[in-house]
Amino acid sequence: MWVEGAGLLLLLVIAVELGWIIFKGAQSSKQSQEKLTAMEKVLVELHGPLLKLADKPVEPATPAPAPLALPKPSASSSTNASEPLTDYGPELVAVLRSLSISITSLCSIEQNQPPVDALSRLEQFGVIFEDASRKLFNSVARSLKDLIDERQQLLDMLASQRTLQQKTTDSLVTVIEEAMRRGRSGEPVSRLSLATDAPSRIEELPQPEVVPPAAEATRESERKEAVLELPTVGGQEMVPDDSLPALQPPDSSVVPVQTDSFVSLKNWVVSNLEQIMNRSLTQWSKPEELLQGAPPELHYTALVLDPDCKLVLVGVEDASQHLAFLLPGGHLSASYNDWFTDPKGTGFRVQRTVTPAVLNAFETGYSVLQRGTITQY
Amino acid sequence: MNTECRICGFDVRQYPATVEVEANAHTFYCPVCGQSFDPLTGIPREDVFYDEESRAFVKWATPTKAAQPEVPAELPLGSFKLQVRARTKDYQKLFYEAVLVFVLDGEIAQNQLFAPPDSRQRYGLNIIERTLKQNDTYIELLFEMKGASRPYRTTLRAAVTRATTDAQSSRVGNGSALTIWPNFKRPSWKERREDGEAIEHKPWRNYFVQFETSDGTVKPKSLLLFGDEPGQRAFFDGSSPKGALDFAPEYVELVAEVTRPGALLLSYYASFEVKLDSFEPKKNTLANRLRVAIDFGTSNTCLFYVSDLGTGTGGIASGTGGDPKPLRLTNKSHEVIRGLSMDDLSPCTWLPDMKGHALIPSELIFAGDPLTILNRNSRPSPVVDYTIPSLRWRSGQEPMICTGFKWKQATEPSAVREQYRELQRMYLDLLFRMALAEFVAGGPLSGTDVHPNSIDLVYTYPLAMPEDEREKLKKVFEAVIQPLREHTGITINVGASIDESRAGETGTGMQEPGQRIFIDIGGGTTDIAVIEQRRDVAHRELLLVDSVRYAGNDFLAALADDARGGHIATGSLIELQRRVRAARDGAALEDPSVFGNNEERKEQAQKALERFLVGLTQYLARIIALRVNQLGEEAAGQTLHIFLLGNGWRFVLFLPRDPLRYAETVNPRDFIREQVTERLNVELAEFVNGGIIPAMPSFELRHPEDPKTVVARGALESTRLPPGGQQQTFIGTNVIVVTQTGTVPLSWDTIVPRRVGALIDRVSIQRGGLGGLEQLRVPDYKFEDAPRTYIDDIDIKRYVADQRGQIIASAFNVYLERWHKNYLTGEWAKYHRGER
Repeated sequence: MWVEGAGLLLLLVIAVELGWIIFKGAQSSKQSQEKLTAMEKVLVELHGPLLKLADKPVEPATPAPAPLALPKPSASSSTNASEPLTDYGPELVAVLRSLSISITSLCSIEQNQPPVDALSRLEQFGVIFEDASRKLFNSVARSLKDLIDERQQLLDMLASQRTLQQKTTDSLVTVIEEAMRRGRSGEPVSRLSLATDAPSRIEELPQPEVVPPAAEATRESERKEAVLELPTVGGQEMVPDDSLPALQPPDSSVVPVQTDSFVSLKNWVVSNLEQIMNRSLTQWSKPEELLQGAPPELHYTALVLDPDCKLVLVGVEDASQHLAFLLPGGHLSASYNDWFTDPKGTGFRVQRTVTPAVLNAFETGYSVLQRGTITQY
Repeated sequence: MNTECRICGFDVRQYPATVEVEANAHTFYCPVCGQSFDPLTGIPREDVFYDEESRAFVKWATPTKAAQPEVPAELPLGSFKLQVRARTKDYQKLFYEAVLVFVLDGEIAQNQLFAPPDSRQRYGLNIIERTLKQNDTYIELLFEMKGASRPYRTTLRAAVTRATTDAQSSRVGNGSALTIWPNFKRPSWKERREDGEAIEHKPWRNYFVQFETSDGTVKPKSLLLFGDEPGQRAFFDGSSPKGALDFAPEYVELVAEVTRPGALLLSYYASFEVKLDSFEPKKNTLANRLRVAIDFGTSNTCLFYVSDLGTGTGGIASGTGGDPKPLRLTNKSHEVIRGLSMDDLSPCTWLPDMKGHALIPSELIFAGDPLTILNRNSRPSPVVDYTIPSLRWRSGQEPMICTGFKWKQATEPSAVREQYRELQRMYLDLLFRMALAEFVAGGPLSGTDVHPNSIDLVYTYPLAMPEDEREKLKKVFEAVIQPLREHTGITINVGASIDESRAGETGTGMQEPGQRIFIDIGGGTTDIAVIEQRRDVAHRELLLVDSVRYAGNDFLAALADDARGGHIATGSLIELQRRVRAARDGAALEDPSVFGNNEERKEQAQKALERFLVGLTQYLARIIALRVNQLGEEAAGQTLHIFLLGNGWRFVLFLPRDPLRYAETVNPRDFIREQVTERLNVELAEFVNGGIIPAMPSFELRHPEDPKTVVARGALESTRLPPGGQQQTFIGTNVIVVTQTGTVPLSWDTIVPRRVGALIDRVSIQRGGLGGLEQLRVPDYKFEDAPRTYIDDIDIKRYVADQRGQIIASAFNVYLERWHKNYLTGEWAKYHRGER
């Protein structure tokens, strides 16, 4: 903005100075020409930052209005073709250039031809100047308006992208919840599709649009309803099983701690899993008995997380990570379907856990860091 | 007629005289010596005959001539003439005024009389020709009768009911049926015993009759049956006249109204001669008795019999010799009017045509709502109120059927559960009547090998049946035999009762040395016996015998869509049972409509079957493990022979088949054997992995062709049964016994009964279980809405311990009965189905 203002102020100064020169009838035309050329350069330099705002290819300069039957200047003669221009930049330059040419021709008339009446020449210059000033003002005003519009568009786009991101995140949460519940009911997760209208990739983002506040409120309300609405299977609403520990999204504030003792426990369990499985086939009453032989310095903990599934959880005291494995004869329930890979499905009897699942515990549940493997009958 | 005197030889033909014969004596005397000649029976030329009943001479006459009550008739014998005064009798009056004519495929029933039975019995009426006239409104009869010198003709008003057989379906349209059961008569006889005492064995006098018609224009009013002896009459009325009678019927008279257009509103009559076969008792051998064994099962009942000497005289039950034979029930109904299958009636309360089947459904079908009929003041009557349903499954019959009454808790529908003893009595009463009819009609009781009127009965019971229940079952048998003796003249001597486990083992007939395990899956119980036979039959040891109420019906109940079921199938338990029974090789569950054409539900059912089989194979695996541990090193060299008995194994055929492995035509028995072998190997491998047994044992499965009937067969061979003594089994799973002096852990292989040395306070299954089968947390079914608890928190003392500080039963059985069978669908059943 200040650049255009400075340019306008400069033009006014030039105009006053030219008027003074003509009025005095002093100085040579050559000096005047040099002075005007220098002013043009200053103007072009001043417009440089504005010209860099757009990355459009160079367009031919808008032809300036013909100043009193003066020869039409070529675009290439006064500007560098590789120099980027704005929509309004060439127009401004053309106005200045025509002003410069008009003054030059005015001076040449003074030199080569007998002097005419000073008043009529001043009149001609006044017309040219007035035209140039008007165009300059129009150009600057248009530039400012375009700038404001562009800024507004950018703001709108950012707002739309934020809304879109929120929508996509919500859709993903819904899909994950649905996947978990369908998994519980025995349907392979792989069969699930992203049941959302929202595009899933950035290249599919919709064009930003201006949404009235009321419409935006409605959309927000719909979004909330979509999130609250439970997925349905066979026309029946699926209700989460409160008795089962719900799979919680990981808490970003909790960073899994893999201590040395947990690594040691994991190594021990992995290498002794077969014995643990075998031990479970005979008499045992506490889950710690299954880990018989584990180094006591590990200070491990063992827990039957779900007796119906025969799901055992082991860990160490100072680590948030845990190992989970299913004992022979258990039945994998849907709640833990994503804890283990390659099961036949829920409802089938577990034969063995081949590799334990690695979990991260947080306040309200567990997140799976590494899925375990089981075999089923 | 003999005209020479037997004493003096005078020929009365030379005697020129006319003698009037007196009606009472109807004889004349020799004019020379006064000796009486043979009674005069009639004057055929004059159509005169002597009627014994009225003690008068009767002369057949037309209606006009019959107006004269008495006419003279003369019999010339040379110069001698006999003269009688004969009462005239209008022969038209021998017939009904209007007759109902039964025509099947254009042919008039040949045994139809068109006259009251009296005309046949007293006047010897015999129809020679029958011709329908004037659009079936009249029938012309050519007939002969007693004393008539020639056939006579008459024409009667008639209404015709025509039945036609469809050539393609062989079904009869517009048919009628008059049926009598059984199709024989058997007279009484007197047995004189060695001690001089005479016993009179009564005749067979248990008959049922029923008339049905599908001709809507015929409205039956009554049925009258006549026996041989005067006064033997039975009357039944109603639109479907039926009932029981206590004499052998000779004639039947049916009265009906015919409501077709143009027909007069008359009562039309039809009468028939019954003509039952006669089987007279042969008394050659009175020392031997027919031995019969009955395996009264929850789903099916089977009878075997053996006659110790000789061979029978023919018929399906003959030729037994010393070899036990299954009793195959055949149709013993006599069709007086043929044309309508009783089986097509709904509900059909006629006796079933079992078509030679050895397995009889342990079910009763009622004429209406079972509870209403059972709660009436009068005792329900067979045929009228109930019967045993045929094998054929008919949709919509389920509300009228009662099943599972061997056990109170298994009785369906539950509304009649309190009357399960009465249902047992009704069932056994009818079943024995059918069995005895089979034995009599061409069977061993009509032969010469065994006593014709006395049989010995052995019955079986599952060991899972408590002692007091066994006593009550015995009382039911005793309650049945008394009326049977009255009705049939045959005495049934209720003898020893044998447990099904041992009987099943014996029934397989294995005699070579070896270790054998018998596992018999029935409808209500699975019975197990482990036998070691060393050298011969005499050297056999009953190592283990047990019974668990975990059987085929539990699998079906898990599928059924009723209050007890898992809602996987679309039908109730009764419907599933009937479908399974009617189909062969378990194919009933292959019908997609059983699962509402829903493949997912069918897969659920197959998962339930897997769980059901896991219970059984775990049981087997534990028994094998027990034997392996008992035998120690000896076990390595021995192959255990495992016999898969009972109908419950056929559910294995419902498992999905790998088409690459099994051809469509795979032998069902092979499939069952292979599938069970695979599953048993898996369980045993886990036992090896768990260190329960040292190595994989060697075993071989056998599945007899007729796996159900071996129990009844084995029961017959009580001489081969291993000694009973104290039944022992093993506890099956690890338990904790809390006594007044402390806690005693008992390992799964503990043999029970086992005294723990102090009074028992509490018994619980240990949480870890064995082989991974037992769930850690189970519902405590004592409280319906109680949350699931850890299994070691539940006291099972009442099921496994007695008051004297002994563990007496298998805890694993309790687990299977209380929990495993309630988890077959993968979800716990809402309430306990098999309360012991």
